[in-house]
Formats: sequence, C-alpha cells, structure tokens
Amino acid sequence: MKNLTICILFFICILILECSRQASVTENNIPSFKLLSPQEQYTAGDQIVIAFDNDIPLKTYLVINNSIGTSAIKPIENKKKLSFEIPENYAQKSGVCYWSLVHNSQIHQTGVLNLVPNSAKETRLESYLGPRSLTAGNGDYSMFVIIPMDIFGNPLPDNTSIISKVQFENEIKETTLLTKDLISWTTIYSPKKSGRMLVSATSNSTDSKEFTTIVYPANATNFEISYTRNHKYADGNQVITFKTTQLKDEFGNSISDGTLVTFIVTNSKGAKLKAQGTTINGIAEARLLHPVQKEIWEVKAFVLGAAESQKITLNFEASIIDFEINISKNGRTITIGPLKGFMKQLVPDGIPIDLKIFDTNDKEINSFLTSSIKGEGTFLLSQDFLPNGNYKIVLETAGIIKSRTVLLK
Amino acid sequence: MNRNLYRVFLVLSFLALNALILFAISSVWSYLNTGADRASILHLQEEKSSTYLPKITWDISTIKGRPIEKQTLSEIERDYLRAWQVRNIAYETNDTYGLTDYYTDSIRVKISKIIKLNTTNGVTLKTTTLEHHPKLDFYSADGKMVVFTDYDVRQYEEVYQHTIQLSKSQRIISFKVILLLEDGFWRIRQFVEIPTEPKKIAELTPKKITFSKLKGLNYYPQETPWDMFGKKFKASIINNDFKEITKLGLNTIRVFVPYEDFGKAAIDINKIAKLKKTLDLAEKNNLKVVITLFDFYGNYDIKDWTLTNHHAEYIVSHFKNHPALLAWDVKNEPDLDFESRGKDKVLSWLQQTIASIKQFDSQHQVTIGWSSPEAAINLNDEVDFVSFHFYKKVSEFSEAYADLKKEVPNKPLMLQEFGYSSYDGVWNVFTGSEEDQKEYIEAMLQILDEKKIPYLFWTLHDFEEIPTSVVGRLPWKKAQQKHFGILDSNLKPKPVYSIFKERK
Repeated sequence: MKNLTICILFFICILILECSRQASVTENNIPSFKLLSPQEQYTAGDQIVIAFDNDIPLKTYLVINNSIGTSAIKPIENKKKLSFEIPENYAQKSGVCYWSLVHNSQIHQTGVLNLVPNSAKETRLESYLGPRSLTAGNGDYSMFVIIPMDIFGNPLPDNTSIISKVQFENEIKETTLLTKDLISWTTIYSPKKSGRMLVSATSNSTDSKEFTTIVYPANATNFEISYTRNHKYADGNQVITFKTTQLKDEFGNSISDGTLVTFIVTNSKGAKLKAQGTTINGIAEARLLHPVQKEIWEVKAFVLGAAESQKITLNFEASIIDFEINISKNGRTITIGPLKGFMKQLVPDGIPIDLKIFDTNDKEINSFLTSSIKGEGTFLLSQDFLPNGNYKIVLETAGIIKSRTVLLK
Repeated sequence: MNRNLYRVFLVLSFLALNALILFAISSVWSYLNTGADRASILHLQEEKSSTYLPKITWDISTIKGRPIEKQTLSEIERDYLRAWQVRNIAYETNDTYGLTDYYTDSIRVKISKIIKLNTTNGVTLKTTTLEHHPKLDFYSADGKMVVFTDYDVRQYEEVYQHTIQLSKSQRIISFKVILLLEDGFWRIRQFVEIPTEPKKIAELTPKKITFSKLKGLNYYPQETPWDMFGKKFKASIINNDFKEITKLGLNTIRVFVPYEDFGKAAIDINKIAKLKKTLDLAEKNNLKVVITLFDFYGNYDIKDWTLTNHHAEYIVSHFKNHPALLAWDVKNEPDLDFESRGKDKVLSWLQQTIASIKQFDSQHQVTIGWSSPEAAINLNDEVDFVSFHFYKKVSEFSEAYADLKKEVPNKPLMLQEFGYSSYDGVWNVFTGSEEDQKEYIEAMLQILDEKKIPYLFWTLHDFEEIPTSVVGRLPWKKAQQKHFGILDSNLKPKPVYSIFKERK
C-alpha cells in the first residue's frame, strides 16, 4: 500500500515536471511574425486587413487604437495566414490608428495606419451661425463657422475650399474660405438697414442649410413729441395723450417695436409726473389725466440712455372758478358747492376738497379730505375731536383757497 | 430562608424589569433620533472634490475669433477633463454612463460602438492621461464653439481581456478638438488625432551628490514618530534634535511626507508650512534632507495617478529650490505592497511618478527606498541612485550588497535604513540588549566605511508609541520597533551612542 502511494506520488511529480518543461519550451520559443500587409495609407471606409505570415491564432490579438478608443480584436477564422480585419468603426475614422500585435501578453510588433478622410464621396457640411441677431451698422457682426466632413463625419483636411453666401435684400455676396484647424469661419458684418439676412455655404457641390440672422435697428436718435387733448380745462377728468414722431436710428430704420419711451411732466410746483409707452412702428403714446387746477406743464420724452425729445409747454386753464361754503347753525356741518365747471355744469365726481382747522392761536389742529359727489362735498366736525369754541377753517379745492371763522356749538 | 429567597427574587426581578424598560425606552428614543441629517432638507450644494487632475496648461496667445474669458476657459477645462474621465470609466466598465453630458451625439455613437465591440470581445481598458497642453485656436463670437489643439497628451493605457493584461502603453499624442456649448455643457464634437512631433527630451542632469561623505539617519521627533507634521509639531524640539545630529558628525536626515495626512491631491498648506520649517531648521544646522513622499500610500490604481501626480507636483515644485533638499525618495518600501497590490501595478505607478517628479524638478536626484537589497534591482534604470534597507544579520550584508552592485554597477547605492533594536523583554525572552545593538551598529559601520557606502541609520530616538499602521497590531513587533534609537526615550544616550560620538 505504502509502495503504491509512493509510486503514485512519483508519477505525479514526473507529470508535473514534464508539464512544466513543456510549458517552458513554448514560452521560450518566441514566435516570429512577419507583416504581410505593409500598406499604411488608407482612405476612411476602406476595408483594412492586417496579415502576418505566422499562424498562431491562439492567444493572439491585435490591439488597435485611435483617437476615439482602443479595442483588441481576434484574428479572422478559417484563414491560412494570421490576419485581422480592422472593424468598420476604426476603418471609418480618419487620423492615426495604431496597432500592436499581442501574443501571450507580449507585444510582438507595432504599426501605424494613416487614414485620410474620404472626400471623394459626398461632403457634409456642419455649420454654425451666431449671434443670430445683430444691430444695424455700428460694426456688429455674427460669425459663420463651417465644418466640412466626409460621409463618415471626419473633418476634411486643411485648405478645403468653401463658398459662403450671404443674401441681404437684392444683394448676394459670395466669399471663398479655406479650412484651417478643422473649420473655416468668417465674420458677417451687419448692413445699415434692418431686415433679415440669409447665410449658407457650399463645398464640393454640397450645400449647407439656410441660416437667418435678423438685423435689428440700432439705437433711437432724438425725436419730437406732440399732444392731443379734448379741451384745455383742468377738470381732473379728461385724458391728455402724448405722442412721439416716428423714432428712427441713425441709418433711418424705424426702431424696434416695444422700445420703451418715458414721458416726464414737470408741473408748476416742480413735481414730476411720469407716463410710459412702447413703440409700434416707431411711434409711442402715453396718457395722463388732466390736472384739477390751473397748471403749466413742461413735457419731455426719453428713450432711456439713447435719445430724447424737445421740451413742450402746455397750459391748463382753471375749470372751477369759485365755490360757495355753507355752514350749519351749530357750525358742525360744512358743505361746499355746488362746484361748477367751465360750462357751469356740475363737475364730475371726485374733485378733491381739503379742509384745515386752526385754533384761535392760528395753530393747525386737524385736517380732513373729501371728494366731491354730484358737485358737492360735506365735512362733519365731530364733538369728540373738536370741543365747542371758535375755530378758523381753511377750504381748498381746484386751487382756490377760502377761509372762514366758525363757532362750534 | 424560603422567604428570603423569595425577597431576593422579587428585588432582582424588579431591577431586571426596570433595566429592560429603560433599555426599551432608550432604544425607541435612539431609533426616533436616527435618520437623515436635518440639514439635508435644504439640499445645500455639496463641495465636490475633483477626482481627475491631470496637469493642464493652456496657451491662449494665438486665439482667433474672439478673446476668451477666464471663467469660460475654466469651464471648458472642467468639462474637457470630465469628458476624458467619463470616457476612461466607460471603457473600463464598458458602460456608457455619463457620456451624454460630455459628448455630442455623433461622437457618442462612435464610442458606444467601441464599447459594444469591447464588450463582445471581453476587452476592458484602464486609461489615464497625465498631461495636457491645449492651445486655443478659435473661439466663436457667440461663445458657443471652441477649437483647440491638445498637444503632447501623456496617455497611459492598459488593455485587458477578461482579467489578463494584453498590453500596456504610454503614448504622447496630440488632438484637434472641437467643443460645442450645449445645455450648459461644453461637449466634444470632433476629436481628431494629429501626428505628434517627437519632442527632444532635454538630457536631465540633476545636481551631483557627494555620496562618499553622506551619513545620517532617518528622523522622527521622539514624541511624535510617524506623525511629525501633526498637531504636536514643535520647531524647538526639532531644532534641538538637529543640533544633536550635527554634534554626532552626521550630515543628512530622511523625513517622511504622509500622502493622506498632507491632504492627498488637495494639499494642506499648514503641513507644507511645517515641512518648510523643518527644512529651514535643517539648513540652519547644516543638514541635508531626503524627503520621502507618498508615505502610507497604497492604492497605485491608474485612476489615482493624476491625483498622486498633483500631490507630488505641489510638494516638489514648492521645495525644489530649498537649499536643504538633497533628493526625492518616491516611496518608502513599495516592494512590501507587491503581494497585496500586484507587482506590475506598483512598478507602473513608481515608474510614472519618477518621470513626473523629474519633470517638476530636474535639479534633484530621485530614488526609491526599497526594503531590501534584493528588491532594489527593480527600476534601477529609472532612479538616479539606488536606495535599499537592511535589517538582517551583519554577516549577510556584504554578499547582498555585492549581488546588488553586480546587478547595478553604474549607479550609486545607498543604505537608506539599517538599525538594530535593543529591545529586551518578554517578547524576545530577554535575549536583546543595548550592547548587542552597539555591536551590530559597530560591525555595520565598519563594513560601510570599508566599502564607502553612504548610509542613513534608523534612528535617533527610542519611541514610546508605535502606530498600528507602521508594523501592524502584533505586540512583539511593536515592542521591537520601539527600541531602535541611539538615545532612549528619556533622551539618554544608549551605549551605541558612543560609537558615533567617537567616530566624529
């Protein structure tokens, strides 16, 4: 039994030794691979086969690498020689493609393939235009970039010629461009007129798509304003409309719709009123309510930061010339009115009436504000606030001031 | 009696019940207090640290179209590098995740085709790029397209079939690239490799070192071994130690820069300041310093390379002009990681790190601190001088040294670590002694003098605490490690001290 074990062990030992010897024999025997396909220049899309005169398909790979990535491919089966077919996606990519023959994790041979873009077949144009809006004149420009490519999307070599075309109104301009650093580009300056500009390119009888750049008018130049109103009276009810002339840029283009125009009104007390309007076809309008008392307005309009109008002055005549005051017996109900307008008509509701109350020492102790209803305004002076006694009251409406002395009971 | 037992039982069960209730309440309480951090409701922006940091230098001097803004350039750089990173990961995992953000449709299709092919063939790639030198050619008026040429990209790639490595290669390549700004991402539209002019590599001639006169030690402060630049850093202690070292007639020290401790790729400037202080003090005391980088680093993964290079670049370029600097030691005993990380992986990392360090500093010599003379044969072509450690018997030294000299006849050899522990205790059955240490060192020094071998011994002090990361948890190893000093932990000279004193 013991002998048998020893025998078996012995055999195993011999087997192992033999195996390792065998292995080492193959390890040491470095196979030689002779390249049979010396061609290095290819056109993208060609079928590329790399062949060697040895046939050890086992553990042999071709590692290929280009700018996109790296792969390891197995040899083609059923071939006498060891040959590898470069996969389509590598064969279609222009540029440098490296290969190295790997057998048993050892690099045996390396090589380089140069693939040029396939310009014979159709050319594709990829084009970019931006910015897509310009201001007329003033040296504003957009940039037109064209990348000519072959059918597989490889950029064509430097100095490929491209014709860029720019249409504006009746004029079509053509420029010949040469590619450099994969692209060709040109600047397209805006014309002095506003409108639409169409841009396209052609190379090798392939046309690009059409691009549009909108040329917007430049900034507004100074302009004039006018006004229209129903009547000249300060009735606090009618609306006055201010209007600009057509706003234009320095090249005579009507400025873009929606440009904001601000009208600033300065009244006789120096207060500022503001109204705004946006342009349509270069014209802006804004409205304001008539004042309630005699006024002189100075009006000026601005396109902020760009242009302004002349200053115009307009007068409002008083609509209410006088008013009556009725004081009740106990002095605690004060009625003003009826307020009458320029045609002796009752004024529209809402004319403000101001009442100030002073004590005997001329010190203001209270004030009230109401507005007219049907031409009249009423104040009720409560005992809670104003004890019995002598007071001076001052009433003001439509710029007319009247005062009375009252005895509150 | 029975009654007493009954009472005891009652009291105990009462206590146990209370304990159980308390435990239950606390469990419920702690359960209710677990969960997401409340601040997470706010969806605050997270600081993301970059994980791909190849060296990138832009040339914007000849740009056409329009000038580029600094902000845009940094966005282009970020997206371009991420494009590389997601592609590297895509080829490693054969998964197209993330490509959509950084590649336009047409190029993504091309990458997907390769991924499909590689999946069929079981091929995966490990790729990284270490350097980019893009030169901007064109930036469009509307700011939506940029064309540049990325010159001399240093790319390293390993090709695997299943788990077998087919090949590895390092290439210098150049590309023409078109990026388009889409949805806020700069995406790669075209990527064409162009022929690279082989650059003339200037012959690097680092400063000469007078090896024959070089002698010194591996230095850690007594109280903070393996944590030299930590919170307890004290310049006065280091200064005193350096004075002591100079007094012994030594002229060189070796210090260690731990990779993680120094902030990995995001360098901690406080630590840099402490290292600078140390070098300043060394200069003051006429000591030269060998700086050992990447201490306690153990990843070596290709994905980590740009980060380690970034780390090395900062430190190396920061100190390359310091007068106290003698040489760069890439890593301490990297051969100990051969087994756990793979020899190939470690060597590849070392090789590229040496190349990078030489690029950052062509003035100083570079070495690797191999743990034994046998290991020191590795990469002897790449280093400027060969460093090895020796802790075996004195009698074995001459032969080991001769073997190494035979393998590496043309480069200076340095015994970068040797020493003897005077530990005498339970773990070595009281067989060690300070006299043995003296004997060992004396014998070693005799050989070293004879053969004119430059040396750095281990070490100045005995240490009281040895971190687990140094020699592991085993108490007998730790105990040994504590007693390599020529001064004991109370800074009293041990017998071996006298040798140095006399030799001076």
